[in-house]
Amino acid sequence: MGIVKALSLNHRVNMPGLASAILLFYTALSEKPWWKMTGGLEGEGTFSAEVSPFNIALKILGKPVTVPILPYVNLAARLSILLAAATIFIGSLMAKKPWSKPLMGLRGFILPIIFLCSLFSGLSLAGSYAGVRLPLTGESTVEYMIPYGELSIAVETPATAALTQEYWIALAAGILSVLAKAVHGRIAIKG
Amino acid sequence: MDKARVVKALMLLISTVAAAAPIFYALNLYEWNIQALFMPSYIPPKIDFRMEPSGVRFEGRQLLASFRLTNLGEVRLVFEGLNGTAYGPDGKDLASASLDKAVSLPPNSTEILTLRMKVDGEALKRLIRYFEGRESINVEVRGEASMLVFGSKVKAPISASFEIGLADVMAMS
Repeated sequence: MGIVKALSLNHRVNMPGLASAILLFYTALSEKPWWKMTGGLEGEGTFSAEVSPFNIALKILGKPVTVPILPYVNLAARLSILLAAATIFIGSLMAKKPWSKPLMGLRGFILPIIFLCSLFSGLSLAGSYAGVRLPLTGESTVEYMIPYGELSIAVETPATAALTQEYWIALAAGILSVLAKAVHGRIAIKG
Repeated sequence: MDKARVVKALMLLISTVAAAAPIFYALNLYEWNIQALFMPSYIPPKIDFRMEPSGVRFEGRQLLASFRLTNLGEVRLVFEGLNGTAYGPDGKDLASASLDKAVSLPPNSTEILTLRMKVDGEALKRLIRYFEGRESINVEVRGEASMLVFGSKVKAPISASFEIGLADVMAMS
């Protein structure tokens, strides 16, 4: 109970909740990607992907690939996380009120996990469709053949992929929201 | 009514609206055409070039055929190498062919690309025989070109032909 008392400023404010809400606000309002992949040599990007739940930018040979539904899915994710951040913020400030418990959601924690699973599935699907192996993280060489009459053109592209700092911030926000919910339960018991 | 229950119900309602409203808006905008909403669209840049013979010369026992290479596409092309063979008018191989030096070609530009062929004594004799009753002959080079296209290493089949005049060969021999 000592830790809960310290983390809630004597059962008044849920501090992990406040921290989580601030990080969630930052994450939802940031335009920076959570995951990046670039393919190409000499600074010329054969392809690039900058992905986050709030923004997806894909380019192949310098030209964008667009999927009409994506901006709307991104907007839905952004609104959901902004709402989660706002409710956690209010719930954390009103920690003593019994009605504040439902405000402490776990969407901030679920999103980075769903993101990673979706990314893995998306890369596997895109890889099997194009007949290439796309890395989730690290470096690899993407090799593929393009039919050219009876012959074929062999293409070899080095690719680098990585989760960015933004992803780890979002995951930290999510973990804090889990901690905040746990602390909130203890505050409610105390109250 | 219990305040916590009201807040819980309200939260569920607002969360559902926040997540579903943009999707419903998109569906309405595309008149519920789900296929159109999910269909990716992509217009690739044009990749095209033209190769025209621009001259032949000998350097010792090496035949150098130059081509005017014009990039008609939208991306930079770099010709890094060639692993090919030159064939005479009868289709028999004459000499191995390689690229004299790498050529970088920005969009809408023209550069000279030179192919270098090593002609040994036997090949030279055959080359001269082709000229019996002719002032010029056609030589074809076929092989695999190594290129750098927008950051990717590309190996593509290539074929180019050029004309050699009798005077060119006599100058060498």
